[in-house]
Amino acid sequence: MNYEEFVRRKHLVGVTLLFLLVASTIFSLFFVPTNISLKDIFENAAVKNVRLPRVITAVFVGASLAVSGAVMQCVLRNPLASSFTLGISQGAAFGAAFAIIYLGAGILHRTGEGVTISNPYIVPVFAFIGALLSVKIVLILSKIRDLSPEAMILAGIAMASFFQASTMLIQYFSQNEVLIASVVFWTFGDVGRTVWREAAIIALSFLAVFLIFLRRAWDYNALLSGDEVAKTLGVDPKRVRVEGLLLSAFLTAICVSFTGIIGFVGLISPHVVRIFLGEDYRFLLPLSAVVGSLMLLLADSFGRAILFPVIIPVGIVTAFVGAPVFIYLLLRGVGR
Amino acid sequence: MIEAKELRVSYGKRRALDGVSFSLREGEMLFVIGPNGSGKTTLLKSLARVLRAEGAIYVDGKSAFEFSRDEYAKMVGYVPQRGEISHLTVFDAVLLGRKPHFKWRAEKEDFRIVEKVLEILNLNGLATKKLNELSGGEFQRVMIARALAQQPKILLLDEPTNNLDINNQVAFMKLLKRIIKKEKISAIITTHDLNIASNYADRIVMMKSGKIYASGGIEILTEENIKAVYGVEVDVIKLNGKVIILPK
Repeated sequence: MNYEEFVRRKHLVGVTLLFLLVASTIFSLFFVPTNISLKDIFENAAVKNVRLPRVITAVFVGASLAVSGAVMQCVLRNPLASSFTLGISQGAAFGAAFAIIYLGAGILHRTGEGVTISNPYIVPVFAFIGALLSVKIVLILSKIRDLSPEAMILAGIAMASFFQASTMLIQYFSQNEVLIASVVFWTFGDVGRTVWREAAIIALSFLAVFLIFLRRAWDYNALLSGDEVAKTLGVDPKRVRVEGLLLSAFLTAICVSFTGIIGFVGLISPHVVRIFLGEDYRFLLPLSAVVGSLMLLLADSFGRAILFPVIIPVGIVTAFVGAPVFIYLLLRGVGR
Repeated sequence: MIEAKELRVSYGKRRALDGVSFSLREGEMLFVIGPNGSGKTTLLKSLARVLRAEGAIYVDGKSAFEFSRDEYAKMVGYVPQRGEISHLTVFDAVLLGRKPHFKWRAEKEDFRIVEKVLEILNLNGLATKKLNELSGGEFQRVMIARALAQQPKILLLDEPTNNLDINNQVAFMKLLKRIIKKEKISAIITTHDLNIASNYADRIVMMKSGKIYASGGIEILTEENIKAVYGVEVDVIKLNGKVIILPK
């Protein structure tokens, strides 16, 4: 197979995946968990204000988590990196919980629907601060020479525990039971709580960051050859690394603010693409985004349909699927 | 072509490079030899601007630090001792060498150059193989190909023959020599193999403890110099116009 054929094949896979995503979106919108008609989209309030934003949220949160995972795996040279495995999601969750409990930024909407963010700007800001705390620790750790990728992930798990404990602590001391319940609900990781405005914030954040990432694709390719070689190719590794982590933390904070912690999508999607189509970031980024969207959308459709009328939050579904895959990746060895 | 003046690099208290000066002309192959820790790799990294050394480096008469990293990358290609292996395909890994030229998007011309380089290095059959699937010798050739795709005037190679068997070593050195003469590139190559140096060098720099102990043509490969630098007794044998170094 020559290179042009190879590139054509990647385009073909991309188009196919995109087609699958569109098909799944339509399927999820119209048939899960109950059938609706085209008319309902415009007329049925429940469809218009709940199901539609839910589907949009799933698509863009999946894509956001996947591209941030792909970039982190590159800039940290760690195939197990993702905002979930490095404790960045949990840091963001802590920041968001802090804003909800102490700043009154969220209220419990109706039992069974979890929390609605009453101020969609304060929560992400605090989530971002929490995520930055984790990133700072990751950056410090990554400077330690000879820290193996596995050791870095163990440190990430330690950080995740730390932030989870911190979140529980502020819950424990909160006097307001409604707020406690709301934070608990929201740590499940669910794409079903977003309203239109939040879905739009998620989608726009993704698009903006994704464009910056794409523009950096060759820089990421250069970093794959190591910092030294990257430098001799005109790339500033430190800058690309810090920028990549900051933008990834930002996307994570946005996702966590409105949907809670959703694990493994960011870790697994780039792997799937890498194994089959190689690591060229010009293709890896968009393809991972589509795979991430597909994964989250299908996981959410599954969670909505399997025990209907009970809805299983998507975070639980991805954890059940993701945990075994994560263990497989560990066993397979980071050194590929 | 390239000239270094009084280069100094310290790691903490240790002086890794201690006032190294030399110059190299177009189309020449310079071999840097010396024991482990004598500063060979540090010298190469300084010239590649991976490390910031004190002192001055001139390329084509202009100070190296006046060039932007992109401009410098168009003149100087660097291949480290151990490259990092990724899932990039061979073609993409070589196309990476065109990055300083195209910035954001590879053009037809870049693809053409990559194809040419792959052909020269006999890699065209491997274009869509991933780097993690290659043998040591193939990977080494890909790294050189990437550096050549930069179309540099100066090639810096850190122990390029290290992981190659003797057959591949000879093939690689012959190929390198041919490319360097044809494209009028200067090359600075570190090696532990004194016989490779004696066979292919236009000039040799012998390093010891961060300083240049001796420099010149292959005539500096004497029993005395080698003893002084490596602390080992050798016989230097001249045979059919070649110099062969044998440990006693």
